[in-house]
Amino acid sequence: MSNPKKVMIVDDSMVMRAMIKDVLTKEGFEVVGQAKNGKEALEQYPKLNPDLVTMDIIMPGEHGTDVVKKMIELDKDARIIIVSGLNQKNLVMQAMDNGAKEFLVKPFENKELIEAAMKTAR
Amino acid sequence: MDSSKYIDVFIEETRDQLQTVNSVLLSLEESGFNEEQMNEAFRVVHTVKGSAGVIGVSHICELAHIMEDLFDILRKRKEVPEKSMIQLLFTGVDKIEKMLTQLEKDGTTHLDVTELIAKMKQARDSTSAAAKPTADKAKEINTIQILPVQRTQVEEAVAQGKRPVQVKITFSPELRFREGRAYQAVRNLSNVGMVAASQPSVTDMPDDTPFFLNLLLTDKSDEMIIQSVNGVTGVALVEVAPWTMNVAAPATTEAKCEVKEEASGAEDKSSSGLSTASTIRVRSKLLDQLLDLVGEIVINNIRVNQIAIDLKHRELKQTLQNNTRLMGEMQDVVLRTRMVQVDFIFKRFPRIVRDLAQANNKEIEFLMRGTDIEIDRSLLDEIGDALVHLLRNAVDHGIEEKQDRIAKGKKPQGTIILSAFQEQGNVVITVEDDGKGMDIKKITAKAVSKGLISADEAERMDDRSKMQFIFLPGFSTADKISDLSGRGVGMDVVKTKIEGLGGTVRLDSTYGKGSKITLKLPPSMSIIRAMLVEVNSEKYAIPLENVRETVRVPMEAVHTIADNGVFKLRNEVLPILNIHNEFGGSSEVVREMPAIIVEKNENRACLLVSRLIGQQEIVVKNLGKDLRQTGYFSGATILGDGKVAMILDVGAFI
Repeated sequence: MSNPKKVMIVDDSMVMRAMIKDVLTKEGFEVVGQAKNGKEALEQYPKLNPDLVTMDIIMPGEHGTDVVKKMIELDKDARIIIVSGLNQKNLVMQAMDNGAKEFLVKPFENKELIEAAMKTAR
Repeated sequence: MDSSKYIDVFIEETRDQLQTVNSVLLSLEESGFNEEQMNEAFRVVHTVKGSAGVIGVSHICELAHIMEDLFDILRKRKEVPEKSMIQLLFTGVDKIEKMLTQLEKDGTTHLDVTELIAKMKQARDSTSAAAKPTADKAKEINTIQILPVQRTQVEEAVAQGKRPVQVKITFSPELRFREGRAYQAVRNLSNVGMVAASQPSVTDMPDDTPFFLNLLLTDKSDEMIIQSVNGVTGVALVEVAPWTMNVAAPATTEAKCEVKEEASGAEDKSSSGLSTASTIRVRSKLLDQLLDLVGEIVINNIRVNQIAIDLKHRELKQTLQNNTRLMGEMQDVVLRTRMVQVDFIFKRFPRIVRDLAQANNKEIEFLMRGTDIEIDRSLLDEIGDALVHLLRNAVDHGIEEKQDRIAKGKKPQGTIILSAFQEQGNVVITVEDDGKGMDIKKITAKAVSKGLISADEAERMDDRSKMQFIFLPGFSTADKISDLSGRGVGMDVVKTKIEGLGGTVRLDSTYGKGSKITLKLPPSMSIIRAMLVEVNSEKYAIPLENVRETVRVPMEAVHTIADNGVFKLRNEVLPILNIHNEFGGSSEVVREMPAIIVEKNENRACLLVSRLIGQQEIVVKNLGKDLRQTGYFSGATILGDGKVAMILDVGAFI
């Protein structure tokens, strides 16, 4: 693997960020950035230019759905996996309308995350 | 989310949906299994469950949930279920309806449904095991059906060189949140064509859905289509097949019940099922407010007109004339927005008649006519209970039991006809049965035994008058009191209600042949024509339907019989009503007074007034409780000069 795929993790939960980072790093992804809300994510995105973003749907401040929209405005080809809870199904559809490429429903298995990441990353 | 503001909408929508379920169940019993209808019922109950969950009405949500399970089993079984199952579902509908009423009244649902839910669960668990082998059959039904509206869309696409294909997408087992995956798949399909329909609907896909079908209008190859969806997580298999037109008939999408309906208008019935798309739901309270406001504007306009006349400004007067015409039109349109077809409440009657007939062990054919007649919504809401009373009476006391009918040489099956039609601007509703009719002798005997009249008086009365006894409070000729009617609160309640709305009730009956009750209702409760009069320099309005003529009464023509004044008009002796004392102020002695011959229910009287003003259209406003309790007034109106005039309830005086 010459160039590892760059990943940015957006999640307000430190546990989730750590978990996603561990799983993806083991699979050969490089986690280049982490953000705990939409504002940080949108600041970091242009500098990091990641190949993949995982984004929690409910965060303090802006919802993941809106952050997706703004991120797509920054980069039409942004590859975003939206991560949602079981009872946020409508938001998932909205996130997809806004440009998210893939979604995961918590709690998810490691292999679901890996499969989604492989499929979605640039 | 603040759900409380959606409760009104939820209640109204759910009531509507329950009617659909009722119709489907009735039809299931009468005409056998119909897959479309069962799917419709399943979908509807699913929606009820969903909305109840969102609103936070957990009792309804739970009940709808288990009912959804039952419908799911039934639709997959593809056969008419046993009677007990249908009854269970009927009970479920009733319970939800009751809870809606509670919810509307005090915002709670404290009905205990645990027992019913337990029964349903038992039914579900025992039948679902039996249903397993046939469940596979559902998979064989593999063709997507479209509604007639979608047909044009397909035809247009074909004309543009696109081909319709059916894309079957099968999920991998254990996949969660299939809705989301389906949504993703449909999005991807949209990149290679246009998705005209998906079944089951993408936003309505439980996690046990094995696969779903899409109708795609495309000019791309099958490979490209498959590729577009194959990448979606959880998609196990994508199959593309040519699709041929298979339009669902409108009759099945409407889920009509077995009741024969004869539309009286020339309107195309078949299109009515589709025209719903161009209607919207409006809270009736808003319409009431709108009508009120229009009424106020109209009244205000009369005032402005008066000012213009006083100012002698010609141009202003002409402009105002235009305004008056426009306001008339506006009033008309607003009134029409409040009109709904009587079917709005009629549609729940087949179920009621069926239940009653079953409970009484009677065979009854129930016909409804003129279901498309329009009537003011608020009026319709008011008469619902009265109609139920009449239908109950017809089933309970009207139609005889089968062997009695055969013995009398009648056909074994009784007939009840509920009709609506228009007559001289009024809406007339009749309930007719070919049952045993009223036994005048029995009614008279009862009236005598209750001390309502003496035997002598009874002898002098004609049959028509005797029949009127059944409208008296507490009068019931039913030998045994049944669960539903015969409690002696029926007919007088009906009469009071209908008359309270400005209507009339008429009873025709032939002993041995049947009865017919005719309700005549004003087209709208809100605007009526009235005669304005003055009593003690206060203005009052008398509904024109209660006014027979106006006369002048010379005081010397007033005689006294048993302390009551009477006035003889063309051989008819009329009691004098002098309300000057009741309404404050003393009646000054004058030589001659203007008077109105008022009538209600064939009773007449001569109402003395101080001055006759003239006829006018008035907007009826409801009264507060205190004024209504006086019993003299049925409402109030605001006059052109901004003053309030009370509307006299003539019935209270005669």
